[in-house]
Amino acid sequence: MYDLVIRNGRVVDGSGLPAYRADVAVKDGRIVRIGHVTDDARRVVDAAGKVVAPGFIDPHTHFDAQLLWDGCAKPALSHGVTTIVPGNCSLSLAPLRAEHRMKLVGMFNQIEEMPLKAFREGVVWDWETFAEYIARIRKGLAINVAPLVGHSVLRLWVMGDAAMDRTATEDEIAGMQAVLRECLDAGAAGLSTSYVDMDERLLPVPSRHADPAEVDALAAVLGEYGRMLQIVPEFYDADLTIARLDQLAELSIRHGIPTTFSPLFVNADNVAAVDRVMRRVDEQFDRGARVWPQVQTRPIDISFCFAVPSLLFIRFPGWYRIMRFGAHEEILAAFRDPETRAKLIAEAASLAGLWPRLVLRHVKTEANRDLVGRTLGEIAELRGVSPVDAMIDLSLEEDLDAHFLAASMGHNDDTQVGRLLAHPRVHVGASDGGAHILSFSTYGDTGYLLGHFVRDVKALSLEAAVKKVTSDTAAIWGIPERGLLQPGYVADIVVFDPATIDRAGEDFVGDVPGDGFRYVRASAGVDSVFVGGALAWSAAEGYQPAQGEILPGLAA
Amino acid sequence: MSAAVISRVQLGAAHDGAAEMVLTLRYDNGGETLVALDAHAADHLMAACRATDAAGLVGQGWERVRDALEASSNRYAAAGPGGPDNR
Repeated sequence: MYDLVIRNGRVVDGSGLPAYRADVAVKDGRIVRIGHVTDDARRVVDAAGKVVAPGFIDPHTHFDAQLLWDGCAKPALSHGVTTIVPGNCSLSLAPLRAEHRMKLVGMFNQIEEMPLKAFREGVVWDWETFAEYIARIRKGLAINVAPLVGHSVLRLWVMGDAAMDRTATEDEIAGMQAVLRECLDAGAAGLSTSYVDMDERLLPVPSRHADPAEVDALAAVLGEYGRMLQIVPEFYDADLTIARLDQLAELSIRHGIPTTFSPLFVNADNVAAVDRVMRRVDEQFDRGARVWPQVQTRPIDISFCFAVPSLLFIRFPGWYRIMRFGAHEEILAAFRDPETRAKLIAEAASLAGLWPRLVLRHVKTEANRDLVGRTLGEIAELRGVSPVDAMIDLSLEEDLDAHFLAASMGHNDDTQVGRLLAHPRVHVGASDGGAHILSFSTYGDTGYLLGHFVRDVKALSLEAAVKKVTSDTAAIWGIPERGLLQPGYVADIVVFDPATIDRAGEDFVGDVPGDGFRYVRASAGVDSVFVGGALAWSAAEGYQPAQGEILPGLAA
Repeated sequence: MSAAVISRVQLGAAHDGAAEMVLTLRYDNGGETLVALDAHAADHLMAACRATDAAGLVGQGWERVRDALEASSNRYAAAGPGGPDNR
C-alpha cells in the first residue's frame, strides 16, 4: 500500500529529457516507483491529460515576514512552488538584536515595500538568533524554505549602528564570520548582499559599506560549507554589472562557492548590453566560476494614480504640469474644467493605443468596485465615452484614488526575454515573491513561463522549462534530493494541465496583518501540489496541512 | 561646452513598477550611454531645464543630469535620523 499514486500522467521529470507516460508512487514522503503501478494507495490522483513534474523552486523571494503568519507563503504553493528562498538582497529577519528591529522594518518597507503596520500587528518578535528564527517559522510551515542570511543584518548584529557608516575592523570581520557560521549551522542556505539598495533614509544599506576584504572573508566561510552568495549588482548599468560579476567569479573560484546575481532585465534599448553581460557570464563559467544571472519571466507593469506624480505623463506638457505642480484640489479642478479637460484629451491622442489597454486596479468607492479589473476600453464602452474620458471621470469619482495599470511596459520583448530564459546559463528566478505587495503581484512567474513562453511563444520546450525551475535550481543551490522525479527523491510534486497553466489576473486582497492589502495572482491550470508526499494544495480542496522543511544548502 | 548632452528621452519601467525616465547621453566622440532617473530626479531635471515635456530636455548638458541625480540622492539626508515617514 502506497501513500500516494499519481496515475496516467505525462511525467516531465525535471532532467530535461522527453516526457513519458507513467504512474508515480510515493511512500513515507519519497518517490518509490515510477512506471506501471498496480498496487493501491491511500490517495490516488488521476492525472490523465496532465503533466506530473517536480515541485518548482523559487530562488529569489522576500517571504521572510509572511512566513511568520502564513506557513504556506500563499499563493506561491498554489502555483506549484514547493521551495522558496527568502532573505535575498542583504535583508533577512535574523540574526537581529531587539534594538535593531525597527531599523530592519524600515529597510524592508523602503526596499521591499512591506507595510510597517503588518510588522507592527502581525509579528511577535520572539527571536534574535538565526536558529531562533528558524524554530519560529518551522511551526506551521507547509512549504520548503532555503533561507539566506542578509549581509546588512549580519553587520548590524556585529557592528551596531556603525554598520551604517563605515568599513569593518579585522575583529568585526572575524565576528561576522563566526555569526555566519552559526547561521549556516542553523540551516541557512547562504548569504545575500546588495550594492544597490537604500535604507528608509535613502542612505546606502549596511552591506554597501563593506570593503572587498569583508566580502572575501564571508565568502571564505561560505566556502567551508559550499553555500551560495547572492548579490544585487548595479543592474541598470551593464559595465558595472560586468564588474560585479567579475568580482563574483573571483570569489566563486577562490572559495569554491556558487554565486548568483539578480535581477537582469532585457528591453528593446539594452539588448546589446545584455548580450555583453551574457558573454562575460560564459567567459567566467569557462574559467570555472559559477556566476548565475537571475532573470524573471514576467514583464514589468507600471502603476499610477493621479494623487502621486508619475513619469508616465512626461511626454505631455499639460498633463505633466498639473501632475507636477498641481495640488490635489488643483488637479481635481483641472479635470473638472471643460476647457482644460479638452486640452488634456487632445494632448493624449498621440498615445491613443495605450489608454484603452490600461486596467483599473483599485478604487475606494463601492459604486465602481465592479469595474476593477476591466480595461479603460471596456469601461469607456460601458459608459459611452472615450478611454481618456473614462480615466478622468474615474479619477474624479474616486477623489484621485483610482489606480491604473499600464501592463507590460518593460522586460516585455518576447523574443529577447525568451532567448534569455532559454540560455543554459540563465537562472530563472528574481520573482521577488512576498515583496512590493502594494504595487504589483509577484506570484505566478512559473505559470507565466510554462503558459506564455512555452505554450504561446515556444521559446523553450516544456521539458527544458521545467528543468530550469526544478533540477537546475536545485543543482545551482545545492539542494539535495529535490528537483527530479526519481525513486529515492523527496516527493515534492506538481500536477498541472500544460494546455491551461498560467497566472490568473491580479486581485487586491485584504489578507495582510493590520488590515492590510496586497496584490496577488491565483494560479490557473495547476491541479495539485504535494510537499514531501503530502497534499499541500489542490484546485479542488485548497490549502491542506503539509510539512515543509528547512533545506540546508549543501555543496553543489 | 559639455562633454555629453542628452540626445534622447524615453520612458522606462523600473524594477518596482514605477515609471522612470531613461536618458541617452551622447558624447563628443559619438559614444552613448543610458542613464535612468527616478521621478524625483526627473522632476528636478525638468525644472532645472525649464522643460515642459520630455522633448525639452534634448540638447541639455550632462551636468544638469548629475545635479538632478544628486538632488534625488540627497533629498532625505536633511530629514535626519529615521528619514521621512513613509507609512
